[in-house]
Amino acid sequence: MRKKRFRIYSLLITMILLAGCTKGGKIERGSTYIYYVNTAGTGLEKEEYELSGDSVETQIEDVLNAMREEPDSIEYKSAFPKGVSVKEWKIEDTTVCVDFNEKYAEMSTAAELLLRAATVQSLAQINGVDYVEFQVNGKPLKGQDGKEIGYMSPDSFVQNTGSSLHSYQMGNLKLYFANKKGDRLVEKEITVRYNSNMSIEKLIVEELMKGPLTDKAGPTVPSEAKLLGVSVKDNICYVNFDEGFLNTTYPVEPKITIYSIVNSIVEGGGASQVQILVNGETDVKYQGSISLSKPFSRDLDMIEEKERE
Amino acid sequence: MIRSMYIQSGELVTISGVKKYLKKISLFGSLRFRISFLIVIAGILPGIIMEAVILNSYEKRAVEVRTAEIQNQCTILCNQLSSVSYAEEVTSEVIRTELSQLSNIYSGRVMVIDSEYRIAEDTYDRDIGKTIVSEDVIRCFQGEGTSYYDADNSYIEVTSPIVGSDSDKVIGVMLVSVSTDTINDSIVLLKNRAETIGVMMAVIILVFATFAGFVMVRPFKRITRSIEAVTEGYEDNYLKENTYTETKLISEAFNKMLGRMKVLDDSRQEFVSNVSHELKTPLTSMKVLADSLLTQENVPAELYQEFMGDMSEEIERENKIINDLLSLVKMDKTANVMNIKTENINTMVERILKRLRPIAATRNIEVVFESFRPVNAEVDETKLSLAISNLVENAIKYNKDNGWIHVSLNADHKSFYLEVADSGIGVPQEEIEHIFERFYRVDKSHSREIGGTGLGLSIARSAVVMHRGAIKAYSQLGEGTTFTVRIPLTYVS
Repeated sequence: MRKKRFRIYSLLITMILLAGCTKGGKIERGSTYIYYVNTAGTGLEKEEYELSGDSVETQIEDVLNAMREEPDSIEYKSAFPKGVSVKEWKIEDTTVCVDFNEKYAEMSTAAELLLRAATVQSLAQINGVDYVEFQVNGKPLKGQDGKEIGYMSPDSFVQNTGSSLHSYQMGNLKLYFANKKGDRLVEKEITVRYNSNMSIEKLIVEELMKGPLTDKAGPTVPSEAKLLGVSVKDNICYVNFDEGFLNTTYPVEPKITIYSIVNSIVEGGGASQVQILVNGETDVKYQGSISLSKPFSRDLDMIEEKERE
Repeated sequence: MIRSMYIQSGELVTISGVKKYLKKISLFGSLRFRISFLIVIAGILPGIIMEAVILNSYEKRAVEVRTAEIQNQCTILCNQLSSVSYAEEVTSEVIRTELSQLSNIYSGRVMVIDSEYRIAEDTYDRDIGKTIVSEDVIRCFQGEGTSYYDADNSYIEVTSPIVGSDSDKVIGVMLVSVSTDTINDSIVLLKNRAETIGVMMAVIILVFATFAGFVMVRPFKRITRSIEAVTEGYEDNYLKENTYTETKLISEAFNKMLGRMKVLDDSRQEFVSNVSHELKTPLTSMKVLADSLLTQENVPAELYQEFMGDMSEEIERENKIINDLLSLVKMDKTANVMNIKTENINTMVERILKRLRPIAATRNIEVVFESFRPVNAEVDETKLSLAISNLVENAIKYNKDNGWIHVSLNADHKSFYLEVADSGIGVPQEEIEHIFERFYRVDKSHSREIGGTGLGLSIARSAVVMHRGAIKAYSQLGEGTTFTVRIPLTYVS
């Protein structure tokens, strides 16, 4: 009896572990995918695929063949519509030039777009392929305006495979924090992963509110403050805080806090001046000394000489 | 580190102390605690549910309103764009300003996509010129605008088709994605407020519940006190707790029980005095007889003989009383062993009557036995014989001279019925319910000449009850008395 129960338990545990394996496998980094089109013909789907072949050429051939085959799943189909086929392809440096037959020109805009995106995304995963060029019957593919489409890389597409447009992006930001004494600004470069739905100015202010990650610099904007909104108009960036912004407890000079925001935004964003508001009002004196009634311009004199580390 | 350890052990002590205390008064079993607990649950739970429902529907509603606003703005802008023929990339400065204004007002991103899925305008200037591969955009090019709310990343995405001014063809798509941070902020604020109110409500309800629990349990405490007072002495401490219907019922039931106990107590006292009296009477007679013999001198032998004969009779009587008492006590015993056997009741009755007929004959009383059918039943022969002979003896004793006794036996599929009817002196209606009590005599003045111990009917009743049967008496004063006995054919212990 006990043995049987043990067996059942171990079976259960194995099943759970196996389930974990399949899930883990899907999101594993560095795997390669073949891109397909969903049945409605409105979006891309990807399926994991093991590249075979040693040379770049054999891998390209392999990927193109795999793309034309119908996948096992009924939820998506091959990106190649009926009749469209690759006549030939060649590789120069890191650019693959794919030549399609004349049926390519008869495709609908959406199908053409999906096929183009799927092909570029699939091929660019191969080591040694950076760009893809499309040709139809030996002539370069042209847009409706008659201009050549030219070389395409995955960056040419705002890509997403799900329903949402917003992928996360990586970006480098130059932020200014207070130095240890709190009388100068120090420059810190950080790399952040952010939602592309967010404007760069808002991202900068939010990162400033989080404070520096090192102990060589001090925070400037109190994290209890709430950011009500950031908008840019006519080269002026409007940063709207709530009253929490005024209740700072950091041992920092008032102008350092202000210019930490101003310099960081002007440096990284698309504005040349910064207007700070508290609850939508500008008729405020920050720490009793700095009037916020007018926009600020960048002041590089605040920045501490860069120490050689 | 050490300090924190001290604090921890201190807490442990407190907790175990509380536990001990809880055990002592069995908190969870107390009605007071349960009432308080129920009130707290009933007060707080709906609040929590309401909070969740309202916040949830607020979020839904706010997102819907925001989406509708944006769609409205999009439609206006798209119409404007189609009139200036945006697809030809002649972006007027006005349109550009309006796009960025929309982007600023809703703190979102606006993109305009041309018919080749290239991003022609982006208020964040990030992806201009790139080709967009998005399900929503492709669907929008098929003619229908879409809207999508991503709660995890908190934004709303709306696409709206730009229809050409001269044709119905979709020549571009406007894609707006708007952050819902402000909605989330409002929700957090509302949640905080709701929680504050919730905590306040909880405190008020807790106080109220404790108070209500205390008040509602008070009647029960009073009942306990009254019962304890009763326990201490049999006073006329009747319960009168009429606060609730339930306590009223308890009071009534308790008072009933108290009354019954009193009756029992009285009857026991009466029994004891009866027993002493009955036992004392023969002794007194004997003492008188013996004393008169002792005080007289030169008593003739005949007188001795006569007196000794009387004394012997008295001893016989005493003996009978004690025997009857013993058999009664035996039947009263709870752990009584029934010696059950299948008996023919007809022969049993015949046997008893045969034994008693001579006694009846002395007073010229006719005894008739009428048997309707042969009856076999599972009974304890000794006990049932005792009961039947007691009934018949009774009928003889309280009969008129030259009277009659009619015994009949009948049965159905479940029980047999024995009826003993006589033409005797009868029992007054108001006393008939007492005749089965021990030592109860209807006519106390004549008891001595009739004889008997006053225990016969009591013994008969006990025997019948032990057979799970019933006995009843019907009487007409001066006409006679009828006893009916019903006993199940099969004995069920």
